[in-house]
Amino acid sequence: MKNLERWYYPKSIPEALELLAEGGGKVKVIGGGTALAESRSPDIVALVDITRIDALQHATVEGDGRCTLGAVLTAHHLAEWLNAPPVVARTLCKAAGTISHRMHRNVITLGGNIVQLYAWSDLPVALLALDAVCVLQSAKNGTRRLPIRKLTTVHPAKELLFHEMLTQVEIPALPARSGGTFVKFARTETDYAFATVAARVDLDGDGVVSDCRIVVGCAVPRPVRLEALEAMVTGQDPSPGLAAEVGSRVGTHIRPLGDFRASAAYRAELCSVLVKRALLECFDQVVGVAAIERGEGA
Amino acid sequence: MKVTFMLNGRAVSYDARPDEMLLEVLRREGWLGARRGCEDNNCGACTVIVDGKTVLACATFAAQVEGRSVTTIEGLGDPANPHPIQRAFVDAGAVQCGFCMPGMILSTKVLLDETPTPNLEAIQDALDGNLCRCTGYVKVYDAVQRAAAALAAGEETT
Repeated sequence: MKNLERWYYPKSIPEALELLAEGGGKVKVIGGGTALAESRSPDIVALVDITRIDALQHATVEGDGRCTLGAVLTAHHLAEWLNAPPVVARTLCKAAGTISHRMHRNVITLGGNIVQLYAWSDLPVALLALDAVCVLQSAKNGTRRLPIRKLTTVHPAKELLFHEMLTQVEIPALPARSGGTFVKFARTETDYAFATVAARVDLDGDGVVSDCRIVVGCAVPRPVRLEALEAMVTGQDPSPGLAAEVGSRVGTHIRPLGDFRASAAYRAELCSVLVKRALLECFDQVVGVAAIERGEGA
Repeated sequence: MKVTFMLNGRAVSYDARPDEMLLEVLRREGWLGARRGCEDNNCGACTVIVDGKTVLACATFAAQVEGRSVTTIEGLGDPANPHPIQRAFVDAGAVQCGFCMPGMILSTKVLLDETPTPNLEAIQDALDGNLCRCTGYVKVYDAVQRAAAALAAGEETT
C-alpha cells in the first residue's frame, strides 16, 4: 500500500459510510487488519478503522432466539460468547475458537472474516450452516440484506460495492430440536486446516429430519453447501447408517484443492469422514433432545 | 503521520508511515523488547498488549493503536525489579536463549489477568501463538503455574 496516505477513525456508521462513498473506491475499511497487512495494493489511499464504532460491537439474542452480531466483534469475543444459543455456540463460536492463535483471534473480526473470504476462513463455514444474513449499508444505496450463501457463491469482494460496508450479521431463530457442529482437521492448532465441516440438523415433532445443512470449507476454494446431500438427510430418521451413507458420497460433490499439505484425493476422503462425524454428532444432539422430551432420556 | 498512544503508561507521539507496522515504529524508537522474529504472523516474538489483549506487532499497523494503550515487555519490569511473572520464568528455568520470552511473558500476563488460576489446557491455549525452539515448553508451562501461584500469594505487581 505504497500510496496509503491517511487513516480515519469514525465513531459512527454514517460517518464511515460517508468516507467510503467520498473515497470512490480508493478508501477501504480496515477491521483487524490481518488481511490488509499483506496487501501490496497501490490503489488504496486511505483506510477507515471501524473498530471504534460502538454500533458495530453488539452480540444480541432476541427473545425468539434470533441473533444479531456487529461486524467488528472479534473471533475471541465470539469464542467466549456465553449467551449464544446452543446451536450457534456449537457452530459459530466453536469455529471462532479454532481460528489460529489468541493474538489473531483478538483482532480478526466477524465482518473481515466474511468479506476477505479466504479458502481457510472459518466463520463463513459455520454461518452457511446457520442460514446467516449479512447486512450491507451504503451512504448511496441505503441498506440491503444478502444471505451469506449469496455472498460466498462468487466472492464478497465482487458482490460488495465500493461504498458498501458489512455492518451486521443476522442469524435466524432455529427450531427447539436442532443440532449443529463444526469440525476442523489440521496438523496443529494454528496451521491452515486440511478441511472444515459445519453441519446442522433440525428435527420435526415426529423425530424426522425437517431441515439439514452440510457445509465444507478449507478443502475447496470457497466454503460450499452440499445441497444434494442435505436433501438426502431431510425427511429421514437420523441414524448412524444415514450418516455413513451421506459421508460416503461427499467425494463426488466437491472438487477439493490439493497442495503440499494434502492431495486433493486425501482431502476428498477426509471430507467424507468429517461429514459423517459431523452428522453423527448432530443426530446425537437432536435424538438426545427428542428422547428427553419423550421422557426417555436422562 | 504522527501516531499518538499510551506506551507503558506514558503518552507518546511517534512518526510513522501510514503503511508502517507497529513493530517497526516501536523498534525504531528503542523499544527492542518487541522482537523481530518471523515477521510473518507465525512466531509470536513480537507480541505486545493493546488495550488488554495480545496482538502481533508485525501484523498491526502503527496507525491502528492511535489513542490506544500499548504495553511492551519494558512496561512490566526490568532486571533490577522484575515482574513476578518474569521472576517465575527465571526460577522455573524456562528461559534459554530468551528470544521468545517477551512474547511468552506478555501472553502469560494477559492470561493471568483474565484467569488467575489457569489449568494446563488454558495455559497451552494462551501460549499457542508463541513459538519457542529451545525449551520444549514444559518449563514454560511450569513457569506460568509458578507465576500464578506467586501472584495469588500477593506478590507485588506493576
